[in-house]
Amino acid sequence: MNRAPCGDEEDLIRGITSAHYEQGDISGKFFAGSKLSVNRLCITDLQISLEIFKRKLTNPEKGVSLKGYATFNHSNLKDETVRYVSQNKDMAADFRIIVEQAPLSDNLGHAESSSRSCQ
Amino acid sequence: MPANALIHLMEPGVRGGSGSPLVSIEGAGTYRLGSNALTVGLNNLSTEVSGSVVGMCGVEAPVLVGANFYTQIYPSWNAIPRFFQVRTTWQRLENEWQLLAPIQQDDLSGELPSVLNLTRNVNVIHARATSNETGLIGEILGTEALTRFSELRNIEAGWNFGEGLPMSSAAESNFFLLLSRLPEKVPNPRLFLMDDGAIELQWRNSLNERVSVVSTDDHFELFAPNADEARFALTDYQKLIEAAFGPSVGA
Repeated sequence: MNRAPCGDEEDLIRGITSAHYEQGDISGKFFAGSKLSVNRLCITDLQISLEIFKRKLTNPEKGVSLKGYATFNHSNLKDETVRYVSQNKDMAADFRIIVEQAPLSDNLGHAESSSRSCQ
Repeated sequence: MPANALIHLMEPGVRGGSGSPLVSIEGAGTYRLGSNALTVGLNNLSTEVSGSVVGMCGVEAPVLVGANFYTQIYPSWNAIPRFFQVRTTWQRLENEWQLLAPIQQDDLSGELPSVLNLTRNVNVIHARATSNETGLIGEILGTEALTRFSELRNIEAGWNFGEGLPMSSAAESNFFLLLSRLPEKVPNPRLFLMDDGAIELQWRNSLNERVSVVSTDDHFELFAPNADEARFALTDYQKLIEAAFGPSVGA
C-alpha cells in the first residue's frame, strides 16, 4: 500500500533509546534504514510526542529505556541522504530515504522511514 | 544522522533483561549449506552431529584427479592466534564434493573461536564459545564494552515501537569476526544495536572524526569520513579494516 510522504517542510521527532545511545554518542545509523518510527510534530507536538515515546520506548522488561529525542526536518534528511549517496560509489545513485505518514490508532502522528530507489 | 538534527538527552534509564541462549546444532542428519551460512554455537557444551555437512567444493579447493577422498588443513587460520585451525575431510560423490561430517571439536584448534571460511561455496561456519567471546571483547574493546555488549545482547524483540529485533546471532558472529581481525585496540569504543538486529561499533579516529562499522547478518557497513565505499562482503574484512583504520594498520 502506498502511503503519502510527509511534507518536505515538516519537522519530525525520533526517540533515542539506550540501544542507540552510549556515553554521549549516538548510533551513526540512527536515521538510516527502513520502517524507522518517528512522529510528526505538526500532528503530535513535542509534549504529546514525548508522552508517547515514554510509553512506547521505556521498556525495562525488554532491556531498553528512553534516553532522549532528536528533531529534524524532512527535507534536510533527504538532502543528507543525497549527499551520503553521492559519496559512496557502491550505493545506487537514486537511493533515497523519505518519511511516510503511518498513523496508528493510539498515535496519529506516527510516521515511518522508507528507503527506495527511484527506478 | 542529519547534520542539523537536534539531540536532547534525558535522565538515565533502567536496563535489564535475561540472558539469551547460544545456538548449537545437534543430532543426526545432513546439513546442506548451499549458499547459506551455518551458525554453530560451541557454548562450552559438547554436541554431537552425525550425518554430513554438505556443500559443493568451490574452485579454491584442490582438484584431485582420480581421488575420492582428501583431507585439507587450513593453516592460514592458525597464522592468526585468535582463529581456529580447521581440519576437514572431503569425499567426492559423483560430481559433488562433500565435507565429511562431523566437524568435531577435535578438528578445531586455536585460542579463540571465530568465523571459518571453508570454501567459496560452503561459505561460513560460525563457531563461538561464551568465555572466548568475552575475552575477545575485553582484549580489543575493554571491560566497559563487555558490560555494554551484554546489555545489548539482552535486549528483547519489540524493543522499538514494538518492532525492534534482538541482536542477530549471525550479526554477532560477524562482529566477532571483525574483532578477531582488528590489529589493535579500539579507543573508547561505543556499541549500538540497530533496529534490524545488527551491531554497530563506533569510535573516533585520530582527527576526532566518528567512524562506525556495522556488522549485519551478511555484510559489513562502514561510515567514515572520506570513505568511498559503505558496503563490504564478509570476505572483504581486510579491505574494510584498511578503510576504517588506514592501510598501514590493515596490512
